Amino acid sequence: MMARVLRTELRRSSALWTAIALVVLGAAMLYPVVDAWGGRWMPLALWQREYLFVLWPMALGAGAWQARRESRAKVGELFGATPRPRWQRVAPTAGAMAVAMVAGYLGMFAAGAVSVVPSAGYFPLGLLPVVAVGALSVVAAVVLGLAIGRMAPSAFTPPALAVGGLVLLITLPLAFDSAGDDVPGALLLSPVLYRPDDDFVTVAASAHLAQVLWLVALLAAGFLFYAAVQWRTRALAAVPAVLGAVVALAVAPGAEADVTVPDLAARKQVCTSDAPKVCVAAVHASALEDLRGPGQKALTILAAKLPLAPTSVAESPTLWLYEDSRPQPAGTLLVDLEIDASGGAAEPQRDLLWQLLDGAGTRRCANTVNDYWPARLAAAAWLMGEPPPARMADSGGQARKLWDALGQLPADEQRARVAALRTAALACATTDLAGVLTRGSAPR
Amino acid sequence: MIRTLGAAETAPTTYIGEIRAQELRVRAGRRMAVDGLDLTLGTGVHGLLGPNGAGKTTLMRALATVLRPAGGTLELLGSSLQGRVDLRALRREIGYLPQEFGYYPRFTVREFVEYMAWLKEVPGREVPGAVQRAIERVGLADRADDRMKTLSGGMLRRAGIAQAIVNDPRILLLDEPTVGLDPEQRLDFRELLRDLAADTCVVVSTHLVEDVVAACTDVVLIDAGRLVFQGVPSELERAGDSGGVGDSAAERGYTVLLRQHRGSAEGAR
Repeated sequence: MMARVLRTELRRSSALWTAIALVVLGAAMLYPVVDAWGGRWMPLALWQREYLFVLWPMALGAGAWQARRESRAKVGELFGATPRPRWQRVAPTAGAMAVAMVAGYLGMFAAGAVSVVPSAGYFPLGLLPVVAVGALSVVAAVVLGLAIGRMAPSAFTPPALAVGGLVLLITLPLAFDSAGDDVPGALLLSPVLYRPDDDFVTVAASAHLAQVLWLVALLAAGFLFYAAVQWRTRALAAVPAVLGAVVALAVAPGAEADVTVPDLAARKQVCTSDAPKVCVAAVHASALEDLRGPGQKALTILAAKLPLAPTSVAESPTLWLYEDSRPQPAGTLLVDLEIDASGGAAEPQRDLLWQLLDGAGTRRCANTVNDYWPARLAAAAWLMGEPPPARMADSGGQARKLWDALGQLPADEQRARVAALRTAALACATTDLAGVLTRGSAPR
Repeated sequence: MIRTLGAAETAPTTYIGEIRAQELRVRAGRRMAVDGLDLTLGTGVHGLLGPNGAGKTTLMRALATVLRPAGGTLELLGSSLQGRVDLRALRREIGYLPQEFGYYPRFTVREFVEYMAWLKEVPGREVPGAVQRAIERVGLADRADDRMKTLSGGMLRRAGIAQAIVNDPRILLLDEPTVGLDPEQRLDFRELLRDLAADTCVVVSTHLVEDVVAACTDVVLIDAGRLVFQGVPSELERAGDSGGVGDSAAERGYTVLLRQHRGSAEGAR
């Protein structure tokens, strides 16, 4: 009988429409940034978690809206004469809303998965808790909304909750940010998971545990408050909420930075079977075919024109700007790969080749202005045997001038200077690569 | 569909009258709307009459266990509402159509009656049959799968009666059930009442004196929260022989009895 009532509630409450709204709104937010997660599971799941800053307040408002049904329909008198306890009566209502939220959240994920499945080669199991905790969080929100909506059954409650929740979730991290770099793990009490910048991480188990404990406690408190008849019982709802917060904070990582941890499996390199070897991180396996051609060509050019050329291409799992000025390996050509919406390389093959040969096959190691970039581009142009393209970063034709000057020198000298630039760039010891190219040696 | 009778139903009744009130006082807000009412009602259909503000609805709400008595005693099915009574078991035996019948407009008639059966803790396997029977008895079978919000006023009232009888209550409380019913539907409704009278204590609160005369086995007239008259409909009609205003004997009896009561109440003061 309970199942029958639940079915009726699913069809006749606002559950169905809430689920549909969640999927539509969710997909409408995901697809404008499809480049950031297309073809990759974990980034999709993490983007979805970030959008909880909109979805969570929306679930809160949906719960409050549903809770108004009883007072709007004036059924209190009729139901007051029936034997079934209130908590049993409201359980199917809460159940239907919970089912709707889970279905909506998973539906949104499925809408995103359409752009992941065709190309994704790497499926991290760590994805499952990220999605599950997200779904749990919207369930907790909708039940909390039911509780608040029951207490304040005004037409203004749902929009006020939605807007208030949105403002809270947006300002919460900002408040911590302005306090300095030490963002506390307490931020995990917000269901929003702030997305890391790269595709090579997963979420720490302790972060999941803290959030599950907190959200289950919040869910219990919400239902207790919603279902209770007497004020004394309602006051008891504070107990699980406080207890949950305390326990969650105890197990949560101390700082927000520890919430994400490296995903070693995502970083594992997958390589071409033919030589010379070109590799990408497992999470970007779908882009290997795009990199193969430019990668092998770059290795061939370097081997033909320079001494001590690299013998393989590999994808760097950390962004160059985090690497500071660490020396780079000479034998491997490291590449920072940008991925497009379908999991392939974002840049066309020719641009990839220019990128690989940039700085004579070295990785950027400093974010400087002046002549650093033009010098690297001039070296690439020398390797390509053609003038540096104007569309690339070359303020004032600086690269073209360097390249022209280089071309005036005898062939052996040209080769020696580019080799010197490569050595200096690998060492990451100087930013004056233009000086190396024009004088033939690094400044003392 | 054959319903199995529970032990409680087959056991001989050990009480006099399904409803017994002595010196009953019930508050409606600040006002004592029922104020010293003595009443015993057994099986049958009892028409509850009285002018506006007589305390009819307050009495109905107290009988429905929605309001707690403020004084006196009230016994339903032999258990007193003053002590630590098992309200849950008692409420399973009550059917109630409030004056203002609240419902979920998006539910179909069947879904809503089914939901009410669930709230009244009708055993799960009996629910579909009981729901169908209740809907058929009020003549809504052809609208059973329509949304509540599409029903007319009279149909809503009938849906309200269907939910009230779905648990085969032993006490059935109908507060103005005939509002919005057309003449033909009122005839059907009287038929239904006669049908229920055999094994149910039905209390029908109404303004329509002719409904009471036509369908009730017993007339209860209250005024200012007190009992004015209790007797069979023919006694009410006989009271009208000595004058009074109204188009029928019963209506004349109604006004005569009220006037007499008010007169004696003034005299007592």
